[in-house]
Amino acid sequence: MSAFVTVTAKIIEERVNALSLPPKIKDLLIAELLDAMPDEEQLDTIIARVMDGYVNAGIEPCEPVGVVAAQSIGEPGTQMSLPADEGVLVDLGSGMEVVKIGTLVDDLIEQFGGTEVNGSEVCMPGATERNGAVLRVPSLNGSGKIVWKRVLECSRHRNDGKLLELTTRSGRKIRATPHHSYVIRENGIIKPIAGSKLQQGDRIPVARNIPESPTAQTCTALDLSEYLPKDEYWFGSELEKAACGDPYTVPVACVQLENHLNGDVSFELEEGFVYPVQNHGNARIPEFAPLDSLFGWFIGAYLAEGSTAPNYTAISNMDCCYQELVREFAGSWNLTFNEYDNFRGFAPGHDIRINSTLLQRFLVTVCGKGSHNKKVPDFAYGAPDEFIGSLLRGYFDGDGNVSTERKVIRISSCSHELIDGIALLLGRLGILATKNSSDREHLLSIPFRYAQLFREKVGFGLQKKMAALDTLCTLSEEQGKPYDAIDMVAGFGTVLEDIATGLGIPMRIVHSATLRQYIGRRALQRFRDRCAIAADEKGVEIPAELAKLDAMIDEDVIWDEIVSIKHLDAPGEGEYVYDFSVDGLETFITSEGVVTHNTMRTFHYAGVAEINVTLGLPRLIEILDARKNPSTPVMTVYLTGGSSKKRAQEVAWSIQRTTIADLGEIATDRVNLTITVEIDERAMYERNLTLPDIIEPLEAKLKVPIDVSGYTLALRPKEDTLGSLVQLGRNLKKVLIKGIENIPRVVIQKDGSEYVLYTEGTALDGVLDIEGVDPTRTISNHPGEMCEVFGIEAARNSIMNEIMSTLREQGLEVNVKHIMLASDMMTCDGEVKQIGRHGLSGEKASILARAAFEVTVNHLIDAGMRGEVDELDGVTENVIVGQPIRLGTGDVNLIVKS
Amino acid sequence: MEFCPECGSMLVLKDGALTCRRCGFAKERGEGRSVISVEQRADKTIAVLEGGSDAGMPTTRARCDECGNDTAYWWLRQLRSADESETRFFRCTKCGKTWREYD
Repeated sequence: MSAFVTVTAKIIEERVNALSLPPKIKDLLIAELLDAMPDEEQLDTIIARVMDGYVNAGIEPCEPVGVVAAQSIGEPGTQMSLPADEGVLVDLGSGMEVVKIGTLVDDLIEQFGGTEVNGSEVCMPGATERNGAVLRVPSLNGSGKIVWKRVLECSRHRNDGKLLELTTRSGRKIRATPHHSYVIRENGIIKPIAGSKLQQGDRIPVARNIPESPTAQTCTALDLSEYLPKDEYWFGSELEKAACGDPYTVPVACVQLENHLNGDVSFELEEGFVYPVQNHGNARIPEFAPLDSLFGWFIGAYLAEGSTAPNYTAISNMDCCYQELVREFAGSWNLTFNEYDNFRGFAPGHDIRINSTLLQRFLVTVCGKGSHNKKVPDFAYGAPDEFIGSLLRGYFDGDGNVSTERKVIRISSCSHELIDGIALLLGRLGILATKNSSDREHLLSIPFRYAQLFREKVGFGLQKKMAALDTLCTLSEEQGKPYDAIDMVAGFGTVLEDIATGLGIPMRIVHSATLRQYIGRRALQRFRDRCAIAADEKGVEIPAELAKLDAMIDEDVIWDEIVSIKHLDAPGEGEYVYDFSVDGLETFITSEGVVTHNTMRTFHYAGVAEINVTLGLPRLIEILDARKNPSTPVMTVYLTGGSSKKRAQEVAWSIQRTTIADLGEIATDRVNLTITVEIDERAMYERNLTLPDIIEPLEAKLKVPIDVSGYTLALRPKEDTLGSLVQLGRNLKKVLIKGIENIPRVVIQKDGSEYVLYTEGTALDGVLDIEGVDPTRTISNHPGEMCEVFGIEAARNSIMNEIMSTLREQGLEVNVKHIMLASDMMTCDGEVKQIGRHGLSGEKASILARAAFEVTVNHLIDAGMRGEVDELDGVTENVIVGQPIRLGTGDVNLIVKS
Repeated sequence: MEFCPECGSMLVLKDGALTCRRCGFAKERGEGRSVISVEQRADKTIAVLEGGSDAGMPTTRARCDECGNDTAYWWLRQLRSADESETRFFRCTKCGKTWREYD
């Protein structure tokens, strides 16, 4: 224990330098200590700790040092999904509906079964029960339009991580896992992007106009038996069925049924109407409620001003036109009603109560009751536009508010679902509303730029509101539209500036829009009109450019700016999250209109996708040896007419060899001597095949009768022996069903803006005939084949290209003239000759040259036998003999002048 | 698949009974344990590669002579004999020009 010594810089330096540490650490330590100036005790502790730390961090030889982090590229869609309660737009066979993705996928997996794929349960939904229709979703395609596409797969898996919630400027929200991908547009191309890469200010598509779903036409009348169960209410049609002896469902016991059949009752049951079981007032409503404007209006009115009690439905409103319509509706259904004035609440009100338990039950089931629970009925989304328009009119007449100062039409409600539903219905009509929510109140505003559209499609019944709406319409016409921050077209690249320069319009007009990469739709429309005028003045035609601009203006989506990205905790540890896999661009739309993407399918084979080609020296040898079958023949197939992923896949399937083994499970039964093939419907759909397409080639090749039942084929061999069964099995796998025999695999790669197919295996003559293949660009990497199919000049080019690319891939640069020489020499005689002794070198006239190259003795002996003469023209033989060669100096011969 | 206890050859299903072709021995079908060999379907999907095929490669700062870009993908190959060092290949991220360096 030394005497107390004041610690000076010198002492610090001495102490540290005495330690056995690397100089760099010593310097660092000295610097820190000089900064801190500890006292002696502290200095001791610090030094002790540093030495300890240093020793502990030391590594012995052969000790494992760290973890090598590897990332699996082949993740099939884990962690890319939506939480269970996120709503999505779907079509299940009866028009568009809003369902929670969780309930839908859970039901589908239960119905169709799911298979485990790398941690997720995947299900391929077939036809649903309703109308035998398949599940479809609205999907954004590459040109900005929304089309209904089939859902090919749906999946769920447990989520252990956080969720990202995106909020857009128009008030729409979407929650998904961070790896879930969305779509954005860059340079005019719509492409996927991972949620984690999105930033504030990026613009994602939100649907502003959703077209009618494919099965919507079937819904002009609503079948009320879905909402009023047949075993609780009397249906006239069921009585008819009972009378005819068909199966029926009635809410009463046999005795009462007998009475009704015999007419022994107090009220008649007519076909086409529903009755309550206890019917004293002869109340009834139609079995199939027509989805006309009056019914729609009434539903809207109920949502706005309605309330119910077990025996009646009440609509409260002071306006007489409103009340008239309520009475009209009640009358059209032959329902009685009573009217009361009431003084509850903060203003006098007038109630019209419609007496019908059936109506009440129906409304409560489809719309909910109580202001917090009301929602737009599901069938409304798939209903005709007229119905939707009048539903909205009924609602806005009751609860809507037109503000001419603020230039908006507003509604508010405490029911979040109701506001979402109204927004969606407005979207169906092409009106994009903005949402705003606080804890208890939810607001929806329609900017006045949509006033005219609103007037046309919806309108108001109430005089005052209609007048205000008219004012808004005139205002919007006069004032021109103010800057609308929401309705934007984004991600168009340089197309605006290109068109402007082409027409001589000053670029500054579109310059800032191009810099920001977004422009208001109105501004775009003005620009487009201006371009049209400028084109006329100049006398040029620009149909393609105008078409491009028009396509952007008419898009079915707006590009909504992301205003906030929040991280949320997952709904619960290990809760399921869900996903769809959609045909085509693979997008689907949530209930709020946000377009989201799914990348499940493109990830499946991400690890194994590259085509293996020979490179480097071996490849060079192959080419120069003009080998008849190179080790990795590859064809590069280009497509005609519009490069889209779907077309690429179609063509790819027509080229890739498909055998039964790819289509179904083959079960060989050795005892019963049969082979059963269970065909997978999805594989058939993917390759665009039908059952006859499969059975015909089988029958033709195998010459054996085939039993077909559903999707199962059964075959028996001709002879009853095990040997012929096994032979049949082998032959079965060889039968070609679709595609070209020599081509086991095709890979599609996106090269810039077009899709190109690369095939393992080559069959140029077969491929050129296939529809969709561009015969002017498709090539093979096998020069011999190029010569056969395209001719010797093509072979010459092919040789040059192949050699150049092999060298370039290795990073070597050789001037093309040398390669041209080799290629010319190989092809000058009209066929592809190799450089070696079976080609060029073997055809040299000089014996010595040939003998010096390869098989020496044979050449010399054969030449000797035949008495051949070597003219000593070339280089090699002159070098052997020792004379100057016939080039350069030796190019001239001296003759003596006589 | 069963075998004849007398001559050892395989029993074949003929008219509902398992008979031996060689010696005529016949036996009842029994519980019918069929031997079925099943081959699963090879799930082939045509892969679509969207990103550039270089996308997975590591990058470093290296100046491209053609376009002046400062980032390049790199990979190492041992081209010369085992006692020589590796040749470094570079491919510019922008223009795709490939070159090599060896010391």
